[in-house]
Amino acid sequence: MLKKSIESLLLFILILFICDRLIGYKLHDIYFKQKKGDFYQTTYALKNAKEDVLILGSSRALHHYVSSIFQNYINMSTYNLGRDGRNISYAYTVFSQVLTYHHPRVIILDMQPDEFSLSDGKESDNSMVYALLPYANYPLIKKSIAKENTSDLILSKIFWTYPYNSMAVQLVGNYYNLLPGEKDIQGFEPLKGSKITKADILRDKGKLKKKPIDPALINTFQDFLKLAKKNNIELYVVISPTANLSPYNSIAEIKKLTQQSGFKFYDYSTTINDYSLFYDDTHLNIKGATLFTDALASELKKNFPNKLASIQ
Amino acid sequence: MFFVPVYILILGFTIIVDYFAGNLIEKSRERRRKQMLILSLVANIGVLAVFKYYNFLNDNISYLLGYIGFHNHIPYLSILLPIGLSFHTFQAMSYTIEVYRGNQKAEKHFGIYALYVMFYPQLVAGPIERPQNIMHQYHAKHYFDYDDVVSGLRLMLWGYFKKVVIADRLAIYVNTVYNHPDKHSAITLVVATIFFSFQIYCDFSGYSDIAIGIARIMGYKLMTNFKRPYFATSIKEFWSRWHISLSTWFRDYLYIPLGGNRTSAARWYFNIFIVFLISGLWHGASWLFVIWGALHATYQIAEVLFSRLTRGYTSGLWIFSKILSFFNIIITFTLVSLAWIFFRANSLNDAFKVVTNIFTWKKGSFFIGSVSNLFYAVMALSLLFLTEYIQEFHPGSFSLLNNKYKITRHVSYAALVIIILLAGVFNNTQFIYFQF
Repeated sequence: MLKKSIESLLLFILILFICDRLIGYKLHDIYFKQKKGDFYQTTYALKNAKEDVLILGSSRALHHYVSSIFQNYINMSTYNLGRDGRNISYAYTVFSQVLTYHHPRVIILDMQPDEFSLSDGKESDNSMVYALLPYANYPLIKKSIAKENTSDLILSKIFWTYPYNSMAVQLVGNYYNLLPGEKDIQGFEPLKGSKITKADILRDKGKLKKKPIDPALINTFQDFLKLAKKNNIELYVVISPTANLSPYNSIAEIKKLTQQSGFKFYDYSTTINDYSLFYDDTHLNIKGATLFTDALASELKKNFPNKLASIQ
Repeated sequence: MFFVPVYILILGFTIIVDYFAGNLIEKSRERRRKQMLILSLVANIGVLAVFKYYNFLNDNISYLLGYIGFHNHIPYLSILLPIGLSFHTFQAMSYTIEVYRGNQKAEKHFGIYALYVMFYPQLVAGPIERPQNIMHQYHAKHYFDYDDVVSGLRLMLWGYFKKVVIADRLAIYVNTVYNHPDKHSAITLVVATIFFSFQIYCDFSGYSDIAIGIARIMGYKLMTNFKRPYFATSIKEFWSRWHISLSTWFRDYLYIPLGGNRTSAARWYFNIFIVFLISGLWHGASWLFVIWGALHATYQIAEVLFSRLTRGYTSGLWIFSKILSFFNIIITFTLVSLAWIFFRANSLNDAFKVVTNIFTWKKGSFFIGSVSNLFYAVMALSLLFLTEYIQEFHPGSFSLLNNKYKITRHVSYAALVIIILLAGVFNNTQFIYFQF
């Protein structure tokens, strides 16, 4: 019986190993040949982002900052490295990796108004891990993932398919052009139309609840600030407009920490009251994004005359 | 989920009470036997009442007193509901009741009795075992058995597939819709409700498969808890396929002692209603669960009345039995899904909003969310449907996991592992029934 058990087990492991390696290898190949979408954006961020101005953050960064407007205002090449569903942990890891091959002149970091809240933050921490697992052979990224979740790292070493968990449909769809999707413009992905009304916002305001703060996320933000300071990078921390600002937000804490580190902080969270400029309660549509980027770029331009002169 | 070590004392308390109650019941005669049984039941139900229902009762008393102008000053209890309390309490009660009825000998070995209540695969979410089925297995010696290990692992693998690929995948869509029901159209709410029907089935039956599988690996055979419930052709049949260990518990220890169906029609309907109301409350201290139970009771009573009315008409229609069965499956599934709205909604207000928006057919676009998420969910559901369809209508005809060819079986196991790795949701989502 023991012999039968061992034979069966070995046969199963062998079949699993072959299937996993073949599928994992193919997915890896397709992943790094992407020409659009989230995966392409992340690969670009970790290997090729050599622009002067880099925008980092979550989906709010991705959909709010029109790179070309910055480029026109401050006359420096600009790229948006924001990614859907990520938080400060993702931004910090990408920033650290960018610094290994490039020294950007300016970093604009978009922070979510409730960036330090546990439910929005801690859940997304794992999403940072999932987003970067395909790059676990980069020493710095491996270190960041290991800090958050060692088991994912071990699983991705054992199973080559695991780093592509929940990605297969998008990978194959994008690769063979089966999925619809907007192409990005220097990283910026516009959202079109509006799905919210004033009534929606007023109703949802009553449902906002206080969420506990995650100290780990505050530490990561502080690490981000230290890294920018250490590398002498011009950092601007921005809270972009939102239609549904929670009274229990992290804005005061973000402002305090940013200013303590000697960087400039801009709070645009409540500057847009016209709900037709929002796609949903947390994201601007293209009209809103253009308006906001215009306002921010003209404000940032004031910081640049001397710097531009020194650069030129 | 929190770990509060002191809560182990609750489990210890019921184990000690029921162990001694069982032995005293066996040794005693008529009146004292009954007293011991009542003592054990009061202790078990008392623990449930304090931890699960105290604040709910207090809430409702406060509301009623406030309505007539009085203020209730009874304080609320700041306590967490111990995980699996309803499951192991019911399992413990079935022991003392069976000893009282003379169907089970009282367990002399304290360790064995403690194992009966605390057997870890089924401690937190069942199946709620009966002492006649499991107690003798704890006394027997167990040796490595290749077939048991393989069938246990196979069950576990299928359970994990149902949990992480189907239930947790569907949960992403369902949660998005049910957290803002007023924002969505009728078609979106219908799809989310159907998805929830499969989410809760795969979540709970997935857990049961894993629990039964783990036990099987160790040589223990736990009772079957699910038998493809969505192929039921009536509500009565649904309850003989869904959470079988709980529905038979209620049948044996509540419905039949109340008189079952061997009474007047009015009393019979009353018995059905009481059983389902208590079953609703067993799931949670909330009016949502009470309504869920009441709906199932109403369905059952309506089904009895309807079958009485149509008895003469349907008996001769055997030619159309397949078509009729198909429609009965659809009707049963629709009714069960409608009741699930109250099980899933975040509040009574939300539940009624969902029902109203569906029945008034609120216009609007269909919410897709993530295309890939929907794709995984539909693919996985198709695989589940195909598997269960074959098991239900062509049993033994074809199976990949149980295939007679070794290589086919092993390739199927490997494929299922790869599907779990590629399409599973690994975000530490708890099993829904852990909260009960």
